[in-house]
Amino acid sequence: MIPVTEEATMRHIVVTLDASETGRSALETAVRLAAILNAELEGVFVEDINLIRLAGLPFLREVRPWSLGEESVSAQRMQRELRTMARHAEQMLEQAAREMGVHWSFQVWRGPAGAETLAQNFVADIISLGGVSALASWRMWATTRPRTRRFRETLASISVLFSDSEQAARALTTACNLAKDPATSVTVLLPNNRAVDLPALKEKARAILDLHGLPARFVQLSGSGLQSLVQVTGTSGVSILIAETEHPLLLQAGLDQCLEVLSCPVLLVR
Amino acid sequence: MAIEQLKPDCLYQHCDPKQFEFRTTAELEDLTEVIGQPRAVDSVRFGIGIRHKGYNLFALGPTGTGKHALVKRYAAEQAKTEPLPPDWCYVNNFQQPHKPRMLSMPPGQGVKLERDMEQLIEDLHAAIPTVFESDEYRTRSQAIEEELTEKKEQALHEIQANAEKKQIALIRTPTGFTLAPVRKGEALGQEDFESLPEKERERIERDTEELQEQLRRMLQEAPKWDKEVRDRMSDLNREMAASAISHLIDALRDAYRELTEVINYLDEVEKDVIGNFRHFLRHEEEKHGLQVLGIELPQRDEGIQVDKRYRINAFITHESHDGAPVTYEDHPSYNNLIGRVEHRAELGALITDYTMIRPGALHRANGGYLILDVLKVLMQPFAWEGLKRALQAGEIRIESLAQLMSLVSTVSLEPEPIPLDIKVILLGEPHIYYLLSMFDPEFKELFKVAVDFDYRMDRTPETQQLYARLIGTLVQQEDLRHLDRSAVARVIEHSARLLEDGEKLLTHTRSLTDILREADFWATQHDHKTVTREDVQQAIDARTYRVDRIREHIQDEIRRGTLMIDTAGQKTGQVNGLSVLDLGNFIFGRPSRITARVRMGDGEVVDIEREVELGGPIHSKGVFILSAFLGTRYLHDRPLALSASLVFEQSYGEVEGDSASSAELYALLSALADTPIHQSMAVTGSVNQQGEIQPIGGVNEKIEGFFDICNVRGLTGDQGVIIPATNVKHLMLREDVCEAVEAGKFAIHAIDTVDDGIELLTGIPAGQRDDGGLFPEGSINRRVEDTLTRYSETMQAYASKGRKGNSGNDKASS
Repeated sequence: MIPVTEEATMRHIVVTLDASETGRSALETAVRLAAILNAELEGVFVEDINLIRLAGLPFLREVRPWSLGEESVSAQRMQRELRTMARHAEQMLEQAAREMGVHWSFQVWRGPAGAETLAQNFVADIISLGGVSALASWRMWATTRPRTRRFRETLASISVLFSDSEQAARALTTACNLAKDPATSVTVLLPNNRAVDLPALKEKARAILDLHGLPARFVQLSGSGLQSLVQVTGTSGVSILIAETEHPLLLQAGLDQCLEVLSCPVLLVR
Repeated sequence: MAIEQLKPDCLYQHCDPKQFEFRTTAELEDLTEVIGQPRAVDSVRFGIGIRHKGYNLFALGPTGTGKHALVKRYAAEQAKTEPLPPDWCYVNNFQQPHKPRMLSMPPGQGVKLERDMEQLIEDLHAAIPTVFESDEYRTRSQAIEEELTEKKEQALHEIQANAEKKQIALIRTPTGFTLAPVRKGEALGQEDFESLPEKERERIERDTEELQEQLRRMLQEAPKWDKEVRDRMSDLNREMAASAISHLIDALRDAYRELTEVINYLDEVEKDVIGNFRHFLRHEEEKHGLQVLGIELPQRDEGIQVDKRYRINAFITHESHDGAPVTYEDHPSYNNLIGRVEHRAELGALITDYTMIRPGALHRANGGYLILDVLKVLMQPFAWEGLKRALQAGEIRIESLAQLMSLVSTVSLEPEPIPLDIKVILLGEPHIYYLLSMFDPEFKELFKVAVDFDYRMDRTPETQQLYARLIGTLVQQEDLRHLDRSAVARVIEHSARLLEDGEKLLTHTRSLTDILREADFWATQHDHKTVTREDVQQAIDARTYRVDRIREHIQDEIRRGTLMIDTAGQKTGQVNGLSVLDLGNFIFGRPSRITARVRMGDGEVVDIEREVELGGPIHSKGVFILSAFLGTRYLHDRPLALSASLVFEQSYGEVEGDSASSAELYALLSALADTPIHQSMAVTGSVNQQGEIQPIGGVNEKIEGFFDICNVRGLTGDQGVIIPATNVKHLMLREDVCEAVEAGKFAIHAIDTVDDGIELLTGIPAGQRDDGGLFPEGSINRRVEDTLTRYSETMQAYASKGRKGNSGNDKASS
């Protein structure tokens, strides 16, 4: 059964707010989608509970990658800096939402940082995830000053992890909604699993695409692991990856790990 | 000896129309050669021909003598035989943008290069984005960046892996990284940590310190990796940009392969484009900067906009094939001569760049000839200095006046100077030439060739024929009606009259052209197909009528007796002198009553005009000559005990010139001789110490001035004018004067000496000394001498009485 009126049912989109490049992309995508689906957008800023907890340890030092400065980790400073970041995130959300005419709300969520935790704790039709890992990563720190994006710009390329599930069909429909611009290409990523009837899966995906009048490229993953996904998204310059929350590949690799290795935001569709 | 009056044929040098074989000037060939200016023509030829520094020309002569036309004609003839000068272009100086560079290239190439560079800019806008949007570039640049990220990630992963083994996590903070001990995925708080055994705490602290040191080292390395990547990206960018531009530049190099300067410039353009390729990558909307109230704000740190950066300022280009340029600058201001750098106001600031450099007349005439009116140059601030500096330096350096005077502090340019190879021809009045020669030492060094224009030429049958052709040529040039030969003859006569000389012709072409235009007007009024003698005469009369209001008023006042001039009877110590009034465009004669009074005195002749500072220096000189004449002629062996006063009656303006000195002498002699002078006569002429009469100016106007008064009052046959014999050749009198003379109603006498004059004026012989040294009894000279002797003796008698009185006083006092 192919759901044809997804717009009517997808009313709530959650987006994690983060200053990283992928975080910005996640916000952009979420705002765009909220505008298309007329959905309500909820921005979530995560205050990592671990940071607050470890702040009292006297021997810990915070090392800064650009200034190469060091400082002891104090709870007060940490909380102040997190508040500043939260405020900035809220402003970013407000500006983006206002520009696209989207209803929005914002909340600061204190808990363990991580995509999986977030996905479990927030009930939403779609979750747009950028950099939410607590672990240190260079990707979190842009090497160059990010170019100021305009929300009217189109997405260059959308990849969809497709499977036989109903959620996967919703994920592809979401992709079709986002790819209204002819300059945006859609790539349907098919699993590398002998048990799957690949032609039938393809046919199912094509039926959804035809419904939206969109062409698409079909790519079969080279393996069942995360590496095969990295390979595809890395070479084709993917702007965003859309997947169902229960996709086997994500479940197997772990959402945090996926976000860490992929250079694009991930849109989870329930 | 009786002085004969002049015969009518002496009064006017007629031009006989019969000497001309043509009926109208239409039959005459155009005059191609210049007449009456052999010296000027030779000088121009020499000045234009000689090619050494400083041999610029100064054409001096009265305005309207045809200086401009002549020098322009000869310069143009010479210029045709000379090669077209090179084109000059200003281009961007990529190293020092405030000092634009100059390129020289063969004529015509400047415009071509300008077009080619415009095309290149257009092509670059297409070619560079294409290369940088290619899959090749994207893949290679991403690969380089990915490599860096991977390297950093790898280093971080190693630390993370080490940390994990020691139950420590490397976690992100709002501004960096920190290491934290973890248990079951959660960081340990202070209480948790303190509850650990001491050894465990110590281990954690040690491990954390160790890991932090690793992290520190890694972070210190990271900037080097970044730099390495930036260098590689820069190399890649240069490589890609070079690939986009090289084929375009190569095509231009091939087209200009023989022009080394252009090839060098293209090399620099290539380097600069490669270094600034990003300017060509901007999207349309990014090309426009921020706007305030609709005004686009200039972009910071961009220097010259990319489209202008490589543009050619085709400063001076030559596309015709007419040889070297001949330029006349009508408004030779400093900027119009030397060139200027224009500015554009942007939000209150003045902006400029090399495309806004504008040429001056020196640039346009470079390689050829520049004609300038010297008075205009001198009247423009700094123009003369600028011109001399350029000629001395042999180059044109564009500097704004504000820059020169340090008046304005704004962004400006110092364009590379352009070598100057020019012949400057100045046109001006002679007095300017002499003043500059005297007071400007550089002038003589820079303008070594004087082209001296004469305003007159000899009047001979041959020159009159040439003059007729000149008239025909001017008529042709001005598109006027042609003149019949009688009209030509009248124009020639008028030309001699304008010159005040029956034996000369005026070469002042402007005056000649003016009378031809006016005669043409009257011919049109009378529906004449050709201009006749009457039309020319009407033109002359009408011109006089237009400007002789003041003359009429003066004559009217003389007629009414307000201005007192006698034209009949006899008066002692009173004579009619003649003067001219010059109104600039009109000269006319006016009789003046000159009176003299004498008495015994200390030998001084008082010129009342001088005493009241109305007499000019030349007039005073004439009066001093009179004292010397009287003393040496009559009393050479005793003191001149005379006190005389001379005055121009009813003269309320300045009197200058010595043309009345003979009249003043006659008045003095009449007073001394106590002999009356005929008031029907008027006198003009200066006198020297020997008693000889010297020529004066304005003789025709002076005679006509007195004639007009006599004519109004009625010609009696006794009236006439005494003039110097040396002025007879200057006579070109009006027709009515000549007719009156011919009819015996008016007389003109030409004299050589004072004795001739006094005889005519008194009717008594002047008298010559006999063998005994005495003048004849009853003669004027005898009477004068007797009076002066009497004065002298009386004075001596007074003097001796005075001495006796003084010596008596001396005795008394002693």
